[in-house]
Amino acid sequence: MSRRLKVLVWLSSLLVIAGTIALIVVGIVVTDDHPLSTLSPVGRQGRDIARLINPIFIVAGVVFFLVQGAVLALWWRYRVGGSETGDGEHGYYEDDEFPDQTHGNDRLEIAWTIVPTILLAVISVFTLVALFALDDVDASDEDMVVTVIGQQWWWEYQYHLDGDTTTAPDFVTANELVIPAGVDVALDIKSRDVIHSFWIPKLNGKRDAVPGRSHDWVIQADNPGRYRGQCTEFCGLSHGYMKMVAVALTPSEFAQWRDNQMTPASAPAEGTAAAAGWEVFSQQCASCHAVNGLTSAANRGGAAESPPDDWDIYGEFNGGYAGPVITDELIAGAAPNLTHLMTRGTFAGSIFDLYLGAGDHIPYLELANRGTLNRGDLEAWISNAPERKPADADGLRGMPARTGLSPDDIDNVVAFLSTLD
Amino acid sequence: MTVTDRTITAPEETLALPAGPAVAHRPLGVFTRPQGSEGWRSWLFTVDHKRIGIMYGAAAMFFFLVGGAEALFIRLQLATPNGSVIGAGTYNGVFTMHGVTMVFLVIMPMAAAFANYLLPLQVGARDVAFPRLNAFSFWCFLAGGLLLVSSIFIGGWFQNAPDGGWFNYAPNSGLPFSPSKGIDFYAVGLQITGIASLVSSINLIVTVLNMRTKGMSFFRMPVLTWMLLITQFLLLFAIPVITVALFLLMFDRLWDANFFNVAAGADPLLWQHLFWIFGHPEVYILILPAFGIVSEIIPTFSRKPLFGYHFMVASGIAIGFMGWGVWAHHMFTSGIGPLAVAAFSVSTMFIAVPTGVKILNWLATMYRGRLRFTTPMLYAVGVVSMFTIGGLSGVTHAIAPSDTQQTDTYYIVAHFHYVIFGGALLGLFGGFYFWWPKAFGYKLSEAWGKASFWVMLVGFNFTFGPMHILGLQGMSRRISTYRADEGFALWNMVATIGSFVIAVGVAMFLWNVYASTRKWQRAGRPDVGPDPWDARGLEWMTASPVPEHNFDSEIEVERLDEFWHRKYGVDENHRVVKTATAEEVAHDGSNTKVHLPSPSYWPIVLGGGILLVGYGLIYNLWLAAAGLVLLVGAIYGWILEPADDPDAAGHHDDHHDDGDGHGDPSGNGGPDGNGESASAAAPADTEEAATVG
Amino acid sequence: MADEATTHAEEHHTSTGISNEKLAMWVFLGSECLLFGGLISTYMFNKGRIGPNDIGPDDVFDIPFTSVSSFVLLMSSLTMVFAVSAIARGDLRGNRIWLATTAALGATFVAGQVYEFTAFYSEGLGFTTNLFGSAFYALTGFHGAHVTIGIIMLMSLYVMSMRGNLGPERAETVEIIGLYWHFVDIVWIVIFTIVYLFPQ
Repeated sequence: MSRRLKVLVWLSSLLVIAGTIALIVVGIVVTDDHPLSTLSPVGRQGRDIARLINPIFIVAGVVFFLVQGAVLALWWRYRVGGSETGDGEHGYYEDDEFPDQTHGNDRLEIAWTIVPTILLAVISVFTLVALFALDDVDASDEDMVVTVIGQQWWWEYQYHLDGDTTTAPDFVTANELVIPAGVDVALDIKSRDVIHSFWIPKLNGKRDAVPGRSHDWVIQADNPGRYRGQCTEFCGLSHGYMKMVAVALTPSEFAQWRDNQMTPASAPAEGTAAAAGWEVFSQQCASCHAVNGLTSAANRGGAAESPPDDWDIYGEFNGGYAGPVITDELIAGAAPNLTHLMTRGTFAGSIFDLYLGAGDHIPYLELANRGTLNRGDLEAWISNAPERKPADADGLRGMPARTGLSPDDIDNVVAFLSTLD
Repeated sequence: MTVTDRTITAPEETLALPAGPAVAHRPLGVFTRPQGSEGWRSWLFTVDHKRIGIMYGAAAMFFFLVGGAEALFIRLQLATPNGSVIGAGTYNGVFTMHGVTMVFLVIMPMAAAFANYLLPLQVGARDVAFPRLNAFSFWCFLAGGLLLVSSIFIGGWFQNAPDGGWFNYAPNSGLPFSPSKGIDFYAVGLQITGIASLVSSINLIVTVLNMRTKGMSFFRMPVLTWMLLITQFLLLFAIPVITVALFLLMFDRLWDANFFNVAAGADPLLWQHLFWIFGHPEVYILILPAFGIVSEIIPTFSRKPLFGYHFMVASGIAIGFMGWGVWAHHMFTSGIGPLAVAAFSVSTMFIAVPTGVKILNWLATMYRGRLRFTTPMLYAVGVVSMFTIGGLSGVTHAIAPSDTQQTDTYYIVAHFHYVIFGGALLGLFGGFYFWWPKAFGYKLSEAWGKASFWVMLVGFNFTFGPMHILGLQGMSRRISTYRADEGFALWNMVATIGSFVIAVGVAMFLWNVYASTRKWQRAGRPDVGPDPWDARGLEWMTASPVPEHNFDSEIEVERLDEFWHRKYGVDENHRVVKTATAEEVAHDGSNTKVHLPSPSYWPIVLGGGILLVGYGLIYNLWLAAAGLVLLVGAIYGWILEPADDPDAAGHHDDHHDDGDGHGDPSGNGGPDGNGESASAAAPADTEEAATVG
Repeated sequence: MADEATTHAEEHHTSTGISNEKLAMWVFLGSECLLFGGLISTYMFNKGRIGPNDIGPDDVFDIPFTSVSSFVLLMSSLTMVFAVSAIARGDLRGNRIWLATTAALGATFVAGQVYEFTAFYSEGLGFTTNLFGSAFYALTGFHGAHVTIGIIMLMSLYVMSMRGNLGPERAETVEIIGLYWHFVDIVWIVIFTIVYLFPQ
């Protein structure tokens, strides 16, 4: 190798190492501010996990530098020159000198089998302790349980205020999980079609929503705020568009929000745009979307008003399966309940903000009063949803296009939706 | 003794076998065997393990380019927020096919290329135990691979490509959720490649267990042989498990069975268990061959024996066993219960121990060595360095609670690319450079090799390094796009640029192959000697390229690294001194009296039958029936085929004439038994074929 | 077929002392264990996943009938042993008789299985009826296919013997097919126990 090439090779190798390290350091520094970051937990469970893993990151980092350092040191210290093409008298080497022919060293090798074993044993102990601690839920049987149901490609939340998930929920919402801050909230995670995974990174790790199964999980947020989430088990076509938000409110605000959620919607006044919108809605949308107090079984082709009791003919195996019973126009059998749509900050699987410029900062309870409605996305969504979020409406998955609606119809529907607060 | 000038284009010059006395009768007149070892036809019908190995390598390289192109599409789509280069539907097909292609059609067959080419050579055998089955394995693999890749084009661009992820979790793989033919292609294609892997593993296991040359005890086998043997055992036991899963999936999709039908009470976790019981050993199937390659390269270019041979072998075996007890660490969030999570968390952690032993032993091999950084050595050291990163991130998600944060994020994507690209693929590329002169008789350019290595390494780290950060920042896997305000834009752009740097590195490798081949052809084959790197294994003890009959006579092995010890001795000061040149020690390939198994038509016909059955299962059962007829016909043709074609002038010889090992020109071997072994295998593997077929 | 090649195979020294073909069969059977392991596990996992009014194991199984056909298959292992010992003695005619007997017993078993499947189907248990049906037919069907392949191989041996291509020098071929046959029998014992005899 020519001298220049040699220098080049060394420089580039150093660059790689330095680059990698810079990546890591800069990465960690820049990371903290990300809405989905796992590195800045704000809930008990997330913090426990971080507390467990952070020291291990450091141990791993030390091992990383030791090994990479050893590679570089060995390279620097023991490399020899020779023929570049291997055509020399001694092949690729410049002479026939050989180092000591060490075949191994049992003691050394036993040592570096045992030392990592001990290290990992210590780590396992901490892991197991943390694992079982995370499994504890600081809540009694009478505390609220939210049944979280994933389906293609949005989340439904059924609130059981008395903690009894075997009875009908007190109210149902979609995409934004509202919880009181500072307390453990028990979740009961299910799916209506394929496997999804519920994940609010700042609060806790993820838990899969598996059809036919019911998984306990718990989240807790230290402070009021909006915490983003993403379905994180591949769930088909629009997996990337299946997001959610956990909203933590102060206990009093939560009570206020809860009471509002339990109020059914009332019919819009005659002659208004909203009333015209309701006409359209009841014909076009109500076969899937429920609005408590307005839509009825009749809108849904005679299907039951609320999901029947758990489909328990399969005993324990199917304990939580809510069955394809609400509508037969969707494989999942359900579309988001829109009773209090305007109290949410996002729609369509939390991929669009419902209010412009609201960000994560406007007081949640005042969204409907103080926010500027994101009409553009909402109207586009109503008229042609698959264009904004891939769906397979022919295969009964996702919201079908309503391109037959006139601009006036759309305006009226938006006017009707705006009354749902 | 000097090396004879030899070309790979006309090997029959030296290999032409003398016509033996006309023998016996033709058992069934309609069956003959193909003749000749020249031209493209001879490749179609070859049963030579070396040619089959080369074909495995070439096919894998083709699929590597397909999978690489898919990777670039993924990176383009994710380069910016709200990416719209390819839509969500296409994206799902692209990432699924990327995973399936890279795992099943690239890394596995590349390892199979080395296993086929090198295993018989390293144990001093004439060929594999069942040469025709070996050819069948390749054609069957190719059939499965082409079937899978064809799904990209059939019925429109990615309209019928598998779109359930390589892990293909039920029930998303069911008809209601994936109504295209994609998952059918997945289920059928992987079953076909599975048959190929299974047959090949049986063949290679028998080869290593049974056909070792005299004195080649288990603990005199090279570490590569060991790692490949362990890999074959893992395949042997893992493939049937995925086959069961794929059967169930196929029954569900094609014939309305209920295995993953939740409405009928099924539990989707069944798929996950079956898939990962296969899937985790699969990880070691991918990485162990590369470990073996690294264990060959580092000692050669350190001029030292491998440090702790026995520990290296033992750790490989330990990995092979422990690999079966950790599958549920892929399911920490699936709801398998805290006790199971705890158990698998702990077992997973300890599998890091044997891998760590390997890393440290490689470093110890380099310690006080005379390190010569040739291209293969760069790749090998690259594996040590990069795999360590993948191993360390692996430990962080053995810790189940933290895995609930990391799983299904880009942190995992980063992890397994450091393992599979930084470990397996770099190792296999190192192997290409290392054994290229052995297989083809000329070297790849060192300058281009080094340059492409560095470009690839830099691109690799810039692609996958940032993914650690993206994952910890909360970016999920398999999402086709992300919102601008999620803050993933910067590192995604870096990763995308990095992926194109990798592409440049791969292009440089391909250019190297092209340019080196051209240079070699123009220069009128300035071939290399038998042992261009001053290496240690038996494969270097014969001419380059390896003659069709491998060794002129049976080699008697007395110790580990036999070949090296025949070249070097120790003087009174315990200093290593050269006692013989490689040319003096190695066979020159001049023994033309070796009986070799004749080529056969039937392996490729059988592969074609399987391909038809595959398409038939997906599209039309009548086509499958036609394929089945072809398949059964091929099996009977195979069984009834004469061991040699008496009419094939010049290619048949009498068994008794050569088999007893007359003519031992190199004078350092015993009676030649291996020629018989290969010949005896030809008729006798028919029962096996019937069973497998 | 070139007889001399076979002779070589028997004389030839392998590292383990076991011939390549026999070793390959053992290795293959190792793999088969995992295949049936997977299928049996699938059955165990799924057999109870049926509704209270669904058709289940208790509704269809006819234990005495299946016991008899199991006994037939078991006996075929015995006749297989006779076939192997006959060819080892050089008794080609005896070998043929026992090969044919083994194949016939195997065919009886398969016929019994076909009858059983038909009976179950007429009682309302189809492949698609429920999870038990899918799992049951998949498992026993796979086994039946294995027996069928075994019968085809035995018949092929019989034809080879008739043509004079199966002399005492190929005793090992019969032995290898025998290994397969015994394996398939043993698997049936496991399946019979787990599927039919285990308390539901």
